Amino acid sequence: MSHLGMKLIYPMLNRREDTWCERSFAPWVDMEKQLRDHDLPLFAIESMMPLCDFDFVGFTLQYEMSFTNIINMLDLGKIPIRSVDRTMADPIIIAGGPCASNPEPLADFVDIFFIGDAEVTLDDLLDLYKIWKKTKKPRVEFLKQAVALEGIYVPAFYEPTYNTDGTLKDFQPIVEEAPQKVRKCFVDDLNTAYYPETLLVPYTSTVHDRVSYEIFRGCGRGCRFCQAGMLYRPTREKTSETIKNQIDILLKNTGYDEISLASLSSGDYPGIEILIKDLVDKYEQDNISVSLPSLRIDSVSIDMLEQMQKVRKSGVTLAPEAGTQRLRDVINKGVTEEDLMRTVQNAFEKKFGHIKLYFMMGLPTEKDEDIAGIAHLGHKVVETYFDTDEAVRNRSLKVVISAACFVPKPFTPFQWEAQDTMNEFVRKQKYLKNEIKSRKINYNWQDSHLSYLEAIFARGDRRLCKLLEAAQKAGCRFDGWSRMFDYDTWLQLIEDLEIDGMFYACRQREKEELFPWDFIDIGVTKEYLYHENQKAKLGELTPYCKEKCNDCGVMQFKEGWVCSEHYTV
Amino acid sequence: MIVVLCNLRKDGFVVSIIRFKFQRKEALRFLSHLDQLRLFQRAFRRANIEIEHSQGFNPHPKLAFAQAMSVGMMSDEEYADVTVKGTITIDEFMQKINKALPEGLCVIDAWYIEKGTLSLNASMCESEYEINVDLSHSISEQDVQRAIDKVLTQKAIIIERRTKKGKMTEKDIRPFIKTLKIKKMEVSSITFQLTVIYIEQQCVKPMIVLQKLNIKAFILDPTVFMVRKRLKLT
Repeated sequence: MSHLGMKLIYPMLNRREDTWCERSFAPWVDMEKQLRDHDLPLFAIESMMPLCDFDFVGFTLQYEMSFTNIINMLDLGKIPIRSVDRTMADPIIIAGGPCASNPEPLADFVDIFFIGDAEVTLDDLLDLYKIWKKTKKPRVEFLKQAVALEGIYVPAFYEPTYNTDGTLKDFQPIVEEAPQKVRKCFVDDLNTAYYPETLLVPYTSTVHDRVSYEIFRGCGRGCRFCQAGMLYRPTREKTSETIKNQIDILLKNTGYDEISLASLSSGDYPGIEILIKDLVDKYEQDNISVSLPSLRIDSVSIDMLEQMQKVRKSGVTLAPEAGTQRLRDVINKGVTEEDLMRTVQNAFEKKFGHIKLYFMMGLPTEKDEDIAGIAHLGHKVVETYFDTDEAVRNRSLKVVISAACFVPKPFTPFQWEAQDTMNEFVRKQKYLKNEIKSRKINYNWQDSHLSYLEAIFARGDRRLCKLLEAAQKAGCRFDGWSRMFDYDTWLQLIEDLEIDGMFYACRQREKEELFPWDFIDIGVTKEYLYHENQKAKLGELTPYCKEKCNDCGVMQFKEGWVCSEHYTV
Repeated sequence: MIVVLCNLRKDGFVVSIIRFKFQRKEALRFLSHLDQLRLFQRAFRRANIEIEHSQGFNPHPKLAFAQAMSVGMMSDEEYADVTVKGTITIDEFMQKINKALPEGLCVIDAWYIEKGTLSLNASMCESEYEINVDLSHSISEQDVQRAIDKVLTQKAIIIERRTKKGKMTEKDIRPFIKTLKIKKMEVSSITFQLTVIYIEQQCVKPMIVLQKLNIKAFILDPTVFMVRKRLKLT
């Protein structure tokens, strides 16, 4: 229910006269048991119609460790799990979202993947379907027509071959309609693109229970670990007029009392301070608050923090990502310790008492001193608090340090890199725990087993489909929930199926290797990504897109596209 | 003539306190109290009825319900007080809020109350429920009636409760039960009419009364079809 994409697509489909769209969510295990015990199919929420009776069932792929849930939902919805087993009576299974950028681990289960912004071709796909449905021709005919649309990938139309060492040798279409390369599609202008006038408002309080409003899409910062930063290029900003008008309509129609200005890096929106000030001035009297998701350290200003806490007080979340300047340069995070300390000091002066710091562990070239650097930054934040005038600062202090295990993702400069082994992660986590001396610091770490599996699927190929299917059968679901995650079962299945997990997760790739996702053209070229990889190793920075074009390839991708024309300033 | 009752706030703003009666039907019977509170807050915003907020660190809207409704319960008579900024006629209030409420909730009456009126919570004096309990196996009406008589003739009905601090305390629920009758007897279910009274803002949950009948055939869980038919205020 928190997913913004769903809140966008749902009304977009329902605005059509000929279409109705409903929601369905993976039921928690107790509900699943009830459904199975009573032999009831998983149904859609609005009409309680079983999933198998729909024309399309669509999934958003937000996270690799939700893959088993998708297969389980198909099974619960009485839909054959594998595409090849589906008949005319079964729905077309579609999927999109960030993990569709490497759709291969789901190749056997999903009929159609959307690569890029689905808003562009969704209507066209439904129009095609309507015509096809009347013809009563086989499913494959519809799929053949679908691949003519931009950003549509039908995995059944492609066949991989492999080298003896297990790497991909070739990946070719096997029907003439299917293109050699699948080009992503993107919305040119978000100001004129469809945006809903109302959102689904849940009765129960969900995560992000507020007006989440997308102020721009894409990000030109070029952090080298970040997949979204490459996938969603080019940056497309909405004008402040569009933003204010659409927010006003959404607030009126939903009755929410909070707005969150969402994007990959909201602090980078030109004139963000003026925008926030305008929104706060307008809605403060109605007790409506404005918030921003995690912020870049160098983009947070005193004024902005002050504006935001006028109505309701919340914590500040900052993401330095790495503990030392050297490593932050490797990942092109471009922020300094001074930036962090200045921001934190401002935050303390504005009475914020809760600071959350996000880091990653296992980044390429990382050494123990980089881990120690995380603890060092945490201690300096605590020191900064105690250096702040007692009369000004908040009475209590809580610093949360979160260190995730780094998972190399496709379409990033680090797609060639090996993930740290699980033993190495555990060692580093213990090391960091020992380095943190302050009792004001709360340290959260992540299960390295989970990150290992995430890494396997992130850069996996379609030989992993059988693993997912076996895992669902063995009862794996909600793997992203620690109390449900059953690593022993996964490990057993990986062994039984003779899958080499290390091959996918912890292997350093050669420059020339053909990747399972290379048939997708996201606009940013592989050459550019490799060049960035080499610069990372040298600790060389790449400037922000808006300061200097780095020739990532996206301008050549669409004819006549000029990035700067889509900035608002 | 349209009468509008207003109170002048210290800072010169005008506020009116409106007491309204509403119904909750089957569609929304599984809402929790907090869900319902948030739902009303958002509905007031959508209706463009401006609610007064409390002052201070974390402002919250001045909206108070007579009682937290149990999950699963329906009601023909619920009450709430809301402090509205500015002036609004009762007709306008009801029209606007009902347009903004989802199916399953409906305001059926409203009137102004004066500042200092006894709070809803303190005004409750009697509540009448209709409860339909499914049976796991058939039983005779006489057996149920006998169980009712046995319970109601007791001088005290003691239940054990855990206090907020985790200690066990005893409570006598007998004084709160006014009447308990069988309304309708069917093969697979039985409908009760239960009237309870409030004493010093305390009462007993209908489910506990039914549990005390100690009849094994009763299926007592939150899916029990329970409707508050009447809530009497002083």
